[in-house]
Amino acid sequence: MARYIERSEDITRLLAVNFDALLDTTPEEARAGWLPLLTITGDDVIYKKAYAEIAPRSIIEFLLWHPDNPNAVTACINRARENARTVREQISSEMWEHINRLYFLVRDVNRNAVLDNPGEFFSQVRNGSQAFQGITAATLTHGDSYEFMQLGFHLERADKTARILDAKYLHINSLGEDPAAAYPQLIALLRSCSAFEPFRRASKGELNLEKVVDYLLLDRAFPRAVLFCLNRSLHALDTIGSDNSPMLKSEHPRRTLGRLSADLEYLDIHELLGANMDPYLDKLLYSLNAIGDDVARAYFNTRVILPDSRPQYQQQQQQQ
Amino acid sequence: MRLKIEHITTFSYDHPISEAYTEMCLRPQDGAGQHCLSFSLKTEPHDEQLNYRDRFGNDISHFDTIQPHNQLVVAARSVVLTPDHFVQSMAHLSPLDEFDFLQGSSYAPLLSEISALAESISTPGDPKASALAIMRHTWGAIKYEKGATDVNTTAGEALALGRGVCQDFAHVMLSACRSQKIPARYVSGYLYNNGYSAASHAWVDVYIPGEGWLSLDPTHNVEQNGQYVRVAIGRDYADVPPTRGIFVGNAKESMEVSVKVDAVL
Repeated sequence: MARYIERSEDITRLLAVNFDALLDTTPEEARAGWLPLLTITGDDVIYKKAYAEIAPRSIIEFLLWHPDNPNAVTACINRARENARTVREQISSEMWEHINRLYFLVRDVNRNAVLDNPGEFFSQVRNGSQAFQGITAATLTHGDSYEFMQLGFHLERADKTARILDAKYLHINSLGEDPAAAYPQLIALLRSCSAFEPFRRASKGELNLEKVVDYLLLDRAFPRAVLFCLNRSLHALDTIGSDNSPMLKSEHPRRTLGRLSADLEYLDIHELLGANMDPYLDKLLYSLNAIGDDVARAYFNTRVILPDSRPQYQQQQQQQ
Repeated sequence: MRLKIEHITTFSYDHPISEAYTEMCLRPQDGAGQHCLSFSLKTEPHDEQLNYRDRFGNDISHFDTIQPHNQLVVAARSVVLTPDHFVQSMAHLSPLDEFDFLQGSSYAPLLSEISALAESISTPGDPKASALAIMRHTWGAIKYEKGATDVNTTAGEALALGRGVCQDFAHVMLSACRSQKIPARYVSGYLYNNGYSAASHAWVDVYIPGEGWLSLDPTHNVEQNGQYVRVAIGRDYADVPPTRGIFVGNAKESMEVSVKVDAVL
């Protein structure tokens, strides 16, 4: 539930930022600017099957509500609401009412009107998610359920920040030292993670790729930085349950997460710049996925539903 | 007769699978002279069963096996008192039943070959005589043989092949009767065969207007008698398979079925 809400928020934020940033560009620049959005969400293959061309309107439509896109914003909110429904007795009524309202908002919106002028809708979804997180923090007892939700929010955030970084890094890196070309891209990158103002305060004005990457990956205080999210997730895992056994099973998510967090904790950003960034981020994303799986396996009987298909078969039947 | 039935179905997987959802249609009926004196349905892994009645009145059990497992065993045991003769008088059929039991179905489609055949042996205006003729003809046209058909074989295929098992005989007769506007339904159950039975059994009920349901077994060309145990009715096999389900996982499944029907004093 938490992951789906966070995902819908992050995708809309991404859409909003890109939409604003690309308003003043040429069609070629626009195309190049929008394409990374599809790779960020990982659904570019599905997109290509559904649409012939890469146009902003199609991409927005695809990411917001295309029926073939399992990660579309509407799909995420639907699933979040379904999940909320099944645990309704355990969440606060304010949480349920809010997510239900968000569901109806997204369901009943006039889609054509949104595609013509999406800014307002993007804000609504984002606000909806952020309000949900606030309501959760303020009305849900901070026990296991709350920690699981924080785990969900932060794993998803780490994943999205890493993906956004991965998608934009190479392009920005190729722009070289020219501030005029790089600045707007860097600013868009930061805004995609709601990090623009915090970054400026933290970096005292110097805006370059190295500092931005350092901030988004390794900052310990910014709530969307990957390291912050990993540490918060670790805290959640440590708080959940009362299992005090010193030896963790090898597939326990605490292990993978701990290693990942330690790696980032002691990372020298210079090791990563240039060609090493992409493989490193790929590995990071892969590990985050595995952690999600491990959490599901360790704490729940059913598997996390990732966008990949799950093979399902019919049992054989007996002749009479 | 007092009959004791044991029906065990075992699914084995070469890799652990999870999230198996299984529905079972195994409980012998109470009614029309038959009494189910006892019934137990045990599953391994053990899990809570949800029971419900489907719209034909059959007792269905549903259970989920979410956790990973390598084997699923469903064991049904019952003791049933059967009447010598199946009687279900009914002056009229409800419009829904009449509709359902006259339509072609997936296993028993309405085919022109079967239609023509049925017409040639039927007596117009006499559904009982026609049904008996169809039963006799089906019995003669198909040779009972296991392995020639499989659980997906349809009536047309079985008739063309000329070989099959009980469900194939039943499907052919269903198609034939319905083509002659005789409402007919599929019956799933067991047949006492002097202590040994390798599978459950299938036969056909036909509706005679103004009278009621008449139960005929085209595999043996006889009317239902005390050796038959009724479990479920439907339009064809698809409505009442003894077990049906789905599972999630990358594994090969193998299925073993054992059925025992014994007479008890």
